[in-house]
Amino acid sequence: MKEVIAEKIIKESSGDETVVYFMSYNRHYTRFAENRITQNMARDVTEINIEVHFGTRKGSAATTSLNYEDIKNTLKRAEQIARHSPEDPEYVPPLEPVKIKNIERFYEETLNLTPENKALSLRKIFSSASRHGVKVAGLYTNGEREFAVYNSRGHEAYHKSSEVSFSITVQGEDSSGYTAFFDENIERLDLEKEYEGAFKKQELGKNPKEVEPGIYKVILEPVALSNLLLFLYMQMDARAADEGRSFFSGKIGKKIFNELVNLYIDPYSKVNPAIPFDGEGFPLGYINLIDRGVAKSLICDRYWAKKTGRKPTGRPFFFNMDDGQMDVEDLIKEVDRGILVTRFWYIRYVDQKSITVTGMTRDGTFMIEDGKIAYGTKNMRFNESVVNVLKNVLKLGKGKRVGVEYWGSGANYIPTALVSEFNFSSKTKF
Amino acid sequence: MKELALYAMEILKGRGVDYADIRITRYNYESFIVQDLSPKLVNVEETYGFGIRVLYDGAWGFASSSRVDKKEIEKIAERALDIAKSSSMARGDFRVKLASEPVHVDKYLTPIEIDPFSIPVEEKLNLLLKINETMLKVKEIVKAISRMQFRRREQIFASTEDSLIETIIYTSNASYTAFAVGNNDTQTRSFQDYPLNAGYEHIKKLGLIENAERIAEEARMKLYAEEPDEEVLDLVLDPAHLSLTIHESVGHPTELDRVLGYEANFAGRSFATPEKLGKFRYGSPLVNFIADNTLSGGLATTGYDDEGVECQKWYIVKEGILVGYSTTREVAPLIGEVRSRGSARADNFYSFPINRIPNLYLAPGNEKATPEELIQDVKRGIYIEGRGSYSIDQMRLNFQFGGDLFYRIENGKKTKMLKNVIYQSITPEFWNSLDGLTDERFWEPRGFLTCGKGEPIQSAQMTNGAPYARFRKIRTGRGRR
Ligand SMILES: [Zn+2]
Repeated sequence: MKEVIAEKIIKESSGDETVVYFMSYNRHYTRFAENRITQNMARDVTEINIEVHFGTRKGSAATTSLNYEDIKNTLKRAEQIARHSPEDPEYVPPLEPVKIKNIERFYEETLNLTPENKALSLRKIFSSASRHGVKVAGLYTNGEREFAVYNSRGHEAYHKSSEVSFSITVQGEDSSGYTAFFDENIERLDLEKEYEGAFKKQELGKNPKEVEPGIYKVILEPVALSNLLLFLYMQMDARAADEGRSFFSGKIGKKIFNELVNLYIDPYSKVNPAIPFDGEGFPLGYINLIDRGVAKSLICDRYWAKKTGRKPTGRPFFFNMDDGQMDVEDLIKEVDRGILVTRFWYIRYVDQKSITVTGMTRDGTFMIEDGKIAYGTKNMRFNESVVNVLKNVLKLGKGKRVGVEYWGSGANYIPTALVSEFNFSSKTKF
Repeated sequence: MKELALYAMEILKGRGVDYADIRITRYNYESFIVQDLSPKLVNVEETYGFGIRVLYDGAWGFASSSRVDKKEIEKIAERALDIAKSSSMARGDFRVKLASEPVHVDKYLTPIEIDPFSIPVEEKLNLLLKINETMLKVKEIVKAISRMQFRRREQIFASTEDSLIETIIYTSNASYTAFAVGNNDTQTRSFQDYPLNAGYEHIKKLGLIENAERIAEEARMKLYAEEPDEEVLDLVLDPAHLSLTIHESVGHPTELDRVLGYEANFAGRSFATPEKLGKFRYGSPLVNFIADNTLSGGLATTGYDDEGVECQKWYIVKEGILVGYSTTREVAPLIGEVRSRGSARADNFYSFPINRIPNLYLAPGNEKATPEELIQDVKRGIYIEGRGSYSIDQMRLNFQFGGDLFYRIENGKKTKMLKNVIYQSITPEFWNSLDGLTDERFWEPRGFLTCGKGEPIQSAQMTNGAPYARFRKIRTGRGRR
C-alpha cells in the first residue's frame, strides 16, 4: 500500500525531485504505578512526509491522514513551500537506487499480546508487590513500527519491526530498584524475572547511608553506561570535528580511550539487530568508531562527505560496544572500595568540548567493600567527562541491549564497566 | 465535527461507563531551521484525529485514530471501552473518582493580531538567513543556527457530562545560536527561546535582527573569559535563566500526580508531599509562586484544559509557604480537593492527558528595584543571564544549573566576563536564600515548548515567568573536568 501511494505521489509531483517518507506506529502501552494500571492506551498513527525539490530549493509537508485527497493536498503544500524556500548552498540530490539487505526483526507473537493478557500478568506482580509492602511503577509496551522511504530516483527503503519493552521501578520505604528490557520478540521477556531483579535491588538498598562525594571506583551497569555514551556519540560528527567544535577535532587516528574500548555501528550484528538504513533511507553498514581505544572514524553526512572527499556513513541512531565475559558479581569481587550504579538520571552537558556531563544516580546505588555489596547509598550528583570514563575503564563485563526511544525502534548493546575513577560532586537527601 | 464528538458521547453514555470524553484535534505546525546559509528544515505539518478516553469500573482506557468519521468513532469508542475493562482487572481496590466540574459549553480563541501562517515562508526564512549572515560576519564565529516555530491547535472537546468546548490556540517562537571557536576553546551564545501564545506580532517585537551582532560578539568574548574557582557566592539571576530554575525546582515538584507516585518509573517523584501543604517553608517570605492559566500570552492559556476544566489562577507558594499543587480531575480528590486546577494536558489527539506544569511564575517584588540595585548590594558574586546546563534529581531536591552568559560581581558592580560557571543547591535551601527581587517593570514571561514527561513521553508547553532575583551564599564552581 505504501509503495503504491508513494509512486502516485512521485508521479503527481511537479518537483524536480520528490521523496516520500512513511512512519507508522501501531502500539499498545500499559502504564502502571502504585500497584495498579494508571494508563492503558492503543496508538495507531501513520505520518507521511513529502519532500519536494525545485533545483536546490527544498520544502516538506507532513500529514497523519491516510485519505488520498489529503495526501495530495500535502504534496501541494510541500510544492508551494519548496518553491518559496531560498536556494540551499548545501543541497544534495536524493539517493540513487541501492539495494538494502533486509534484517528480520518482526515477530507476529509480539503483536498478539492483548491488553487483557498484559493486565493479567501485571496483576500478579501488583499483588506480590502489595504483599511485600512495596510499590511498582513502569511501562509495558508491545507493537510494531514501519519506516519507509521512496524517492523519484527509484530508491526504496522499507523496514518493519515488532517490539516489546518493559521497565519497572520497585519503590520501598527508603530504597528503590529498576530494570528494563527491550526485544523484538515477546518470548524472550520474563516479566517475573524483571520484577524480581528490581525488587532485589530495592531490598538490598534498604536503610541507605549517606556517602561523601569524591572520586570513587565505579561499576556502571549497562543502562547507566548507555545513558553516558549517548552524550559521547552525539559528539562523533565529522563536520563538528572539522569545524573545531567537538572533542573529536584532530583526534582521528589517536589513542584516546583504554584499549578495551571498541565502539561500532552494525545493524546486522547478532547481539543487536537494528534498522539497516537511516532517516534518509541511506544503507547502514559496519562503521568502526573506536578500535581498541583509537578513534577511527566519525559520522559523516553526504554533503560534508562530498565537500571533504570522505565516504558518507549515513546517520545511525544505534551503536554497540564490545563487552567482556564477566558477570556483575565477578566485577564486584574485583573492587576493594567503590560504588555500583544501576541507572543515571537527567544527564546534561556541562561542557561539550570536553564531553563533561552532569547527572544523578537513581534506583539502585550501592557501596562495594572488599569485593561485596556492603550497603545501599543515598543518591549523588556527578560531574565527569565521558572521555575520562572510557580512559579509565579497568574491565568490561557482560553486556545487554538497552532500548533507545528515538525515530526508530531499537537498542544499543552496552557492557557493564568497571572504571577506576568517577567524580561524584554533591549529595542529595534520599 | 461537533456532531461526531456528540455522537461518540451518545454511544458511550449507553454503555454503562463512569465517564468518557473525546478530543478531536487538528494541529498545524510550521518549523524552520537555518544553519549558516543553508535552510536545513522547511517543514509544515498537519496532524488530525481524535482520542477517546473511557472510565469504566474505576479504570481508564484510551484509543485514538486519524480517520475522523462515524464508523471509525464507533470502532474506537468500543476499543477504548474494552481497554478500560482490561485495566479494571488490575486496579486493586482503587477506583478513579473524578473531581466534579461544572458543565461548560464554550469557545476560546487565542487573541492574535497577525496570523503567523499568513506570513509568507520566504519572509520568515529571509529573516533567519539575515540573522545568520549578521552573526557569521563576526570574527571567530564558525557557525550560526536560527529557528522559528508556529503552532495552531484547533480542538473540540466533548464529555459524557455534556461539556462541549471548542478552542483555537496559536503559539509563536524564534531563537538563534552563534558558535565561536578560538583561543583553544569553543563557546556558544544564544538569543534564547521566547515562545508565547500569540501571533506573528510577537516575532516582530523580539528584536531578532537588532540583537544578532551582540549575541555573536558575546559568543566570541566567552572564548577569552576566565573560568571561575569553586566558591560560595551570591547570585543575581535574570528572568530567562530563572524560568528554567522555576520550571525544574517548583513546577515539576508541585505536579500532584508525581507527588502521588504516578511518575515513579520515569519523570520521578517529589519531596513536596501533601503533609507539607500549608506548613512547609519552600522559600523566603519574598517568594510567591503563582500558577495562572489565564495569563495573557501564557503558553498554557487555553481557556480549558484537556479534560474540560476551566483555566484558573492560584498560589503554589505564598509568602514562602507551600500552599498548592497543579492537579487533574483524577488526582485532586486524592488529597481532598474538590475541584481540579485544570492541569491535564495531552500533546496530541493520540495521547492520554496527564498532569502538567501550568503557567507558573515568580511574582515580582512589591518595592521598586532595578537589576543594578540588586547587584549593588553584592560584595562578591556572579550575575547569570540565560539558560545553560541543567539537571535535578528525581525528587527535585539537588540541582545544578549553568547559564548562557556570566559576569563577576565585585563590590556592587558587574566586572569581568566569566565562562563555564555552574552552581549547585538543594531546592528549599535555594529559594530560602532569595533576598531581593526586581519589580514588575523587569518581569518577563519566558516559557517552554518541549517539557517532557510521561511514558510514552509527551511534550507540553507552559510559561514560567520571573523578575530578576538575588540569592545569597550559593555553591558555585567550574563546569569542566
Ligand atoms: Zn519540564
